[in-house]
Amino acid sequence: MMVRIGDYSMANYSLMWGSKAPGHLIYLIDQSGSMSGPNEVKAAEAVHAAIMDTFRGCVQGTEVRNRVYITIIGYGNEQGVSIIREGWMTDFVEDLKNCKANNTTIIAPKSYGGTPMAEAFMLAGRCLSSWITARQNICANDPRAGIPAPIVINITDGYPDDRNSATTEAKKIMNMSTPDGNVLLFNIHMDDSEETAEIKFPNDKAQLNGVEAGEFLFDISSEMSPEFIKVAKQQKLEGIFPGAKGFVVNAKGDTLVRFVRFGSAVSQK
Amino acid sequence: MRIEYSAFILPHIGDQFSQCADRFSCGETNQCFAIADGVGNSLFPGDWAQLLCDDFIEHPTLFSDNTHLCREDELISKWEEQRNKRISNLSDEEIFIYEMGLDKADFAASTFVGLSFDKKRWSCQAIGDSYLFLINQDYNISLKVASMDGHDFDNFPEYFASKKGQNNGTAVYCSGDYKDVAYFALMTDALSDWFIEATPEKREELLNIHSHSEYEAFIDQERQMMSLKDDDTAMLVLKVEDDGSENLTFYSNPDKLDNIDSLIQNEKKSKDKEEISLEEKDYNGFPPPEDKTEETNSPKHSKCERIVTAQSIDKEIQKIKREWSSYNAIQLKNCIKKLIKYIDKLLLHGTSN
Repeated sequence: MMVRIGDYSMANYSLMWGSKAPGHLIYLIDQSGSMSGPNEVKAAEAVHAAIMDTFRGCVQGTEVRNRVYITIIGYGNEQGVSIIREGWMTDFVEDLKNCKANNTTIIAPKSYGGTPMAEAFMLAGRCLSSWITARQNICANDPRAGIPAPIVINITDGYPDDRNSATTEAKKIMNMSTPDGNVLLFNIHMDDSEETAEIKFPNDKAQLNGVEAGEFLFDISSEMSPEFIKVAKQQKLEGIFPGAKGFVVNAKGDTLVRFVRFGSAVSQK
Repeated sequence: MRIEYSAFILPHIGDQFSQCADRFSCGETNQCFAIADGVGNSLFPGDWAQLLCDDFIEHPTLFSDNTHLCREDELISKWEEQRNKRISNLSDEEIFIYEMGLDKADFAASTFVGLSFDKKRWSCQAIGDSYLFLINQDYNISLKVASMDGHDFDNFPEYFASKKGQNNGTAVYCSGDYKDVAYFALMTDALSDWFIEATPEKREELLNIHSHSEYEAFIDQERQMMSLKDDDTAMLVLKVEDDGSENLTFYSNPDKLDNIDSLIQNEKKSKDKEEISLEEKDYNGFPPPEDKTEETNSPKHSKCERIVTAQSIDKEIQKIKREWSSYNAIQLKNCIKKLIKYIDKLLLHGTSN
């Protein structure tokens, strides 16, 4: 599923979200049975916090600028894989207002079945293909328009039902290109138990100490550029070196929310 | 000595002039000029940037002292008055949006460069990443002045703030004579960054622009070549001519002086006249934002009422016939929703032609 456009020599993730070059942010949320309990709440809260940050970034006075399109995909729910919510920033105003009034999150915490991560990546891929094609059409008619590299953030607490398929589909996403760079895929694996150690942004597989989830995520996570590292530091995610992979395994405490906020901010002005 | 001045301004790609946070002021009477760049993530930055520029041309010698504005209380009060005017009569939704923005910043911030002249010398004060450039006959930069000179251009400039205790950084001061100065140029950050790296030939081209349309074409070209960052741009150019006189004379041509208020007014007039149809326009092929204006009975929204014409329906049907086979499930769903809205409107209002 290769979608290519233009001259890739300019690819350097430098295009910030704007009215003529809106971003596309996709959240993949594991809603499998194993997420039951604190994890399902933490995942919903992390995505909500990130969307609120993004929303604030789009506010100018009393207006909201549509600088980004957001898609939230749940997997492991009753439908298997489904788009829970999607829209431009202005489409979220009413819901965010109600959430603030009622102290709820934009998506409800949920846990249900297996972990069809491959199918989630496939759906994300179809969304990205539609998006990039639509933006290509606009760019063909408007030299001022642009396509910032879309961002996918995957939040899970387990392993995919089919690791090989998930790896294949994730790599297809990471090979989807725009002039600003390939689609970025950041992954976070949650595990609050005391027996496991948190591993953040490794730049070598040797640092994974044989952790199975880590080996899987290493292969399907985008690399951290110096600019991404700067953004990560703003979320107090430290100790990241150029060439590191954008993922965390066995994330503890508030690492999840800081990671999701970081991934959502890399292309914001 | 005669000095011809010109000034131009353009917003971000896709933004309107009303959303542009760069500003400048030209004070021919007091022989001073100023440029400012409101920080995008602050609150109503354009208003603050304009207040700073206007204050400088009224009081060039008593504007600031390193870290503070001399008339800080008065300026803050003026900004607050403008802010209060903007937020009066907001809808519930607008109040929510405004309050969310306050979480980000509850004050305005702006960079600033002010330049004043007397017979013998020029003086400058600057804070942030907006620059004053002195350029010689060969279009080489002989001096550049900015409090952040030498730093990378990023989204975190130094600034004066519209809230006490929130200024960031220290202004710099500089002065000199007119020897070997062919041009003074004040520029905001994106254009400054470009200007520093540009060739003398490119600088010559920019400094000798004669109209807004020429400026727009130049900026568009540089943006498309990716040599100029997409940001608001503003420049104020003063061309020095030695006429043998000891006196300083300033002059300008109205065609070479943008007026941000006029640009905003003209833009507003064009927008009011536009018939709004249900085409997807900039969202071309991807679900547009939901049209909430149709669901309210508030008179406030009556100007936004969308008009259904037989032509617009036909156009939409033709588009669907061409493209439906490539639609995904989401696009098909939105397509059906849009057709239902058309039908509802037809049943309620009929067509306008």
